[in-house]
Amino acid sequence: MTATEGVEAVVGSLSTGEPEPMERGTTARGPWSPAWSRFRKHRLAFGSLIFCALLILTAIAAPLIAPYGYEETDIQHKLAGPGSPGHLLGTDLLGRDILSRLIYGLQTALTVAFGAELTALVLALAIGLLAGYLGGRVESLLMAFTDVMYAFPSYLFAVVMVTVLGRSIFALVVAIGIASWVTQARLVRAQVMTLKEREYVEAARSMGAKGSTIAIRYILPNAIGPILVTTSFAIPAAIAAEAGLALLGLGVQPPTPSWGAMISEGSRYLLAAPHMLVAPAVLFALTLLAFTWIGDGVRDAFDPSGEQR
Amino acid sequence: MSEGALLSVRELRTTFRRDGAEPLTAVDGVSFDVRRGQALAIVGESGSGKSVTMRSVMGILPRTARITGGQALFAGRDLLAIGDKELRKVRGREIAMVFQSAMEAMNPTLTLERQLTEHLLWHGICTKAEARKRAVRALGDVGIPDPEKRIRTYPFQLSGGMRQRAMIAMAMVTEPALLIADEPTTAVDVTVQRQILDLLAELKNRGTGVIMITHDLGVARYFCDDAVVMYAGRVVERAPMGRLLDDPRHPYSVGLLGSGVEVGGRDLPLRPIPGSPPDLSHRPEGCPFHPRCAQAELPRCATEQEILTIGPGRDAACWKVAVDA
Repeated sequence: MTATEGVEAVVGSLSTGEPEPMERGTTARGPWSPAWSRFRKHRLAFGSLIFCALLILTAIAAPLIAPYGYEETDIQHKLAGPGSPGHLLGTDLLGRDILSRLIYGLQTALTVAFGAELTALVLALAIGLLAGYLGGRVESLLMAFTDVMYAFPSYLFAVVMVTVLGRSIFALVVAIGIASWVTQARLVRAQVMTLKEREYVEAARSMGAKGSTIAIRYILPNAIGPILVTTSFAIPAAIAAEAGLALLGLGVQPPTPSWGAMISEGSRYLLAAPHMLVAPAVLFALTLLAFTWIGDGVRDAFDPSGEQR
Repeated sequence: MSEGALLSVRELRTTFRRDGAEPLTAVDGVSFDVRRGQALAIVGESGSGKSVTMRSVMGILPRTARITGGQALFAGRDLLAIGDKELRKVRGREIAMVFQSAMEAMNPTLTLERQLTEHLLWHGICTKAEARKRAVRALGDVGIPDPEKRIRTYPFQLSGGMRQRAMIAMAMVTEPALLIADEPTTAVDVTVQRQILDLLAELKNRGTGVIMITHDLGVARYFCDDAVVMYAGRVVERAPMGRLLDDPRHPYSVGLLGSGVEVGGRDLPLRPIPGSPPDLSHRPEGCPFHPRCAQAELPRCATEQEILTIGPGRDAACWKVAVDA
């Protein structure tokens, strides 16, 4: 009986252990590989991931890719239309190349979005883990604080933060990050609370694990799925928030380009130079869509049966 | 009886805090001994307090639980008094635990290697390289084929039976003196059950003390030397395994044996115990079993009954037993 089971097991391992192209050469498929393979089957999400990866690369390599600097003016060709020589997407009121400004604007948008979500994630993980794991009075205090923050209108909060800290990328990261950690922290806490009742957490305790080891090695990695899902939806939200603040005149200090500011400016010259509005608006919409589709894919990958939504 | 005992639990009492109500007594004055190379079965229905008893000894109770009395002497120390930091050094190193469901009791995000070596490193028992060797050996010992390769896999890549065996390997890798197995065969199918029991029996023969928590006397009789029968947080009978099976004395033990399908394979009709175990928040006065007991006589059974010694290594908490004897 042992022998048959052994054979079965070996056969089983041959079929399940078949290396994915991604991870050829490793015998063990990681615990996330089922989620990853589900994600890859989600075409829209996978396509979006490639698109967003290109956006990120473009943002990083902006000075190499952009044909002009974002402040460079071509006084001969103010308000040139799209397709004019040397300016693929035309120029704006001051003769600045729109394509170049879009590329640098992308840099602003992504820096703010990723910076803000990273800040939010770190805060949320710290507070959610502490509250969920320690429980008791610590939890009541932290969650009371979280609830107060939750009740505060986050946009208003961001406006106040930018006003206080000044119009810089740092201020936007802090403002948007602080405005969005709250829901994440609640989610992390809820995850931790269910996971700490799991038998493997008890097993780890029975083997003599310290509290911090349990929290970081046993609870956190198993909470990653849902956290990743909300984070991937939070990124487009942060991009939109940055543009929104810019629209209100609370974005980064000009001349640093921001899509929101470009859209706002373009809308003022809508009839004279529609390309000033169309180019940033289309790119903005595409970027938001792509990031949201990635979020969809991530959600489906971690929750294939659609139980949670 | 406590001479030469590896673990000696005396008058253990554990209560659970409840919102807006009196604390609930889940374990009420439980005592037993386990010796080196001996296996003790703690038998009882769900909610009888058998798991809470062992979790109290291990110090891994939920936050709402509190140990309100008793002793648990292990290697000359009272585990209930040494404090969490000291107790953590005992857990996993000197006393290890095997859980009911290997599927649930292994961290899905860590490889077997990690899970089998981590506690060796936490306790500073050996170096990383040595830990790996030990882990491979332990996997081989529990009959996992090709352990060198298997150790790099994640729990979800193993079959249920293999996972259960890997979990025993995880508990055994530190060579603990005492192994607590909480329903180790409940979640696995019958063919695997036998392998698990064989493994535990072998450990016992090598000198490890084993405590098996189970609701199934058919499993317990397989290799346990002694049995403690629990009901509603109390010990109702203590006896050598064979004696308990042949001649149960407490009416609850009699009922438990009568309601087991597999026990002894005797051609007896099943006689389920009428009623259900008491809600611990409304514990019956006196003997907690008397409302379900066919032989109960009021008011005598509704008064507290001490556990009575009725023979060598045999005690029962029923006054009728003492009268009969």
